[in-house]
Amino acid sequence: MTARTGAGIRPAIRFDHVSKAFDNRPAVEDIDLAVAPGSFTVLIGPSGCGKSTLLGMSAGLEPPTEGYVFVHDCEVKGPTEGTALLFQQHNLFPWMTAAGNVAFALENTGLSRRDARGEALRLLGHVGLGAFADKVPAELSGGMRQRVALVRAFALKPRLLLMDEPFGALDHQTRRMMQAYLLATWRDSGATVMLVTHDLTEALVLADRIVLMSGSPGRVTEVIDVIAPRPRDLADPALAAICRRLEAHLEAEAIRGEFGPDELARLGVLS
Amino acid sequence: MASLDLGAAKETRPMRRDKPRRLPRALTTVFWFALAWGLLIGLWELGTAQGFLNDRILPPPSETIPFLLSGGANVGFGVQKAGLIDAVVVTLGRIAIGLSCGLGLAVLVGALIVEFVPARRLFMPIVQTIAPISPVAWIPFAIAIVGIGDPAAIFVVFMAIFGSMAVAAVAAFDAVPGEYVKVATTLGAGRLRIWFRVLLPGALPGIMTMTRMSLFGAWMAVLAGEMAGINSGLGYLIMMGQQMYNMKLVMSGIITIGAIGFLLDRVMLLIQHRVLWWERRT
Repeated sequence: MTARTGAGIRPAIRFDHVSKAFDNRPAVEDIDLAVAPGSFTVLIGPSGCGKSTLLGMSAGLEPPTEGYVFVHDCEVKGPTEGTALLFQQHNLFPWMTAAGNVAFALENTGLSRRDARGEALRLLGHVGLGAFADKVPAELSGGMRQRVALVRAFALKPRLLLMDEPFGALDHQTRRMMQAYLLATWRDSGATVMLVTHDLTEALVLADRIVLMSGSPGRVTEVIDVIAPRPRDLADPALAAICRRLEAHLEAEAIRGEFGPDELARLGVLS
Repeated sequence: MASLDLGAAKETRPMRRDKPRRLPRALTTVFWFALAWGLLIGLWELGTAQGFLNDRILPPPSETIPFLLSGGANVGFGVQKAGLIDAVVVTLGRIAIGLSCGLGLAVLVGALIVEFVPARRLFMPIVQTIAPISPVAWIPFAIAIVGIGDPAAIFVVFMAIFGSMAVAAVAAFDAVPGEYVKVATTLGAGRLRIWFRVLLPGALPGIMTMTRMSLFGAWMAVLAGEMAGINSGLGYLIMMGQQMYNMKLVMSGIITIGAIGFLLDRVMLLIQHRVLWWERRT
């Protein structure tokens, strides 16, 4: 699959000189970024660089302090229909069964309780989770929970899916399986995905485009288009080169975050 | 009592997990419960029989327990005569009403405080000031306002628990992970729906724990109230025992308070398990 980042297409998300401060402390500063519709964008950067803040603003959960955020050409002023959100944890409500969680979303669209449950069972059955429909989240594995959460997110047929380290809590094998699952779901839905991660491999496996950020306050440092067929082979020299670039950047950021300039001079790092 | 409850709460989980061991475990608990009390009552009986304990101040169990069971624990004469059962019913009714009102209003005020910033600024100082006031301190005020009787007792119970319950309710709502609300919002849920389907169930474990604690508070408060001027109920029965120098009556009252307090806590534990059904299924 080629990267769907063609010029001239109206962006799914557009950050127009966006800054956001919490209690007068800047979290992100002067973000200018456009995300192509149907593309898969990965935000990567050190902890506290405002990746999650960008997601929150795109979801309409918090307004920017300065600038504008547009989703599908509409300024975001609150939670928008057609935008789904997935976190690392606390996605499924523990007091509802898997089917109950999916039905909760469907009921919000005006479906009756019974119809919502029927549709939830159908959707869960469709992805092989029918047998777990009446289990509560605590009875499901971490991977299954995220799958149910994805089923619920896609139940509302979103055009934009925002994910904040969705597979961060999963073990390596489950994470790889979930990445494949996400790619397949994304391809079938045609939705735009913006995903935040710490994991370089994850970024390389998933992204059409990697947005590299640096910390405090968060800024976009670099935007890298990843043009390689999926499933991705990490041994591909082009990907390996990108990986080295990302690694160098993140390492520099991590060191910059942990040590002050005087300490760096003493250690002789980055000199 | 608190340490005993903690032990029991810990035991419930493994019991549910492996059913075959459930019965022996329950039996062991009952066995030790009976043994502990058997020993204490035995020593008490022995002590009075041997003359170590004054049986006029501490009547032996062989007299107190039959007295308690025979329905001899009465207060007053003629139309004012009130038995132990009547006293218990009166006291429990006051707790039930006081606790329900306290719980309902505390959750409502807690929700307002969480939802509206001005409400937090306005109500939080009041609630935090009411919380540490001893319930006994409200008794003269209650009697002056509504007179002797049920309303005064219910008011004292209410004041005993409302402040701390409201503070605990705010803490329980605040402790619900923000992700749940964000997810529900992006899934298109309205504010009211978020309250009933997300925030309330999310805070329910905390609210249930606080209700169980408040039950003890209410139990103490109502007895204190009944001893300090509200002339009916179980607390009043004990005061009458003191005034008539009927120690069997006093002891009967104390035993009843202990037994009912214990049973109430068991019932609360059962309700808690029933209400928090999803927590049992792990």
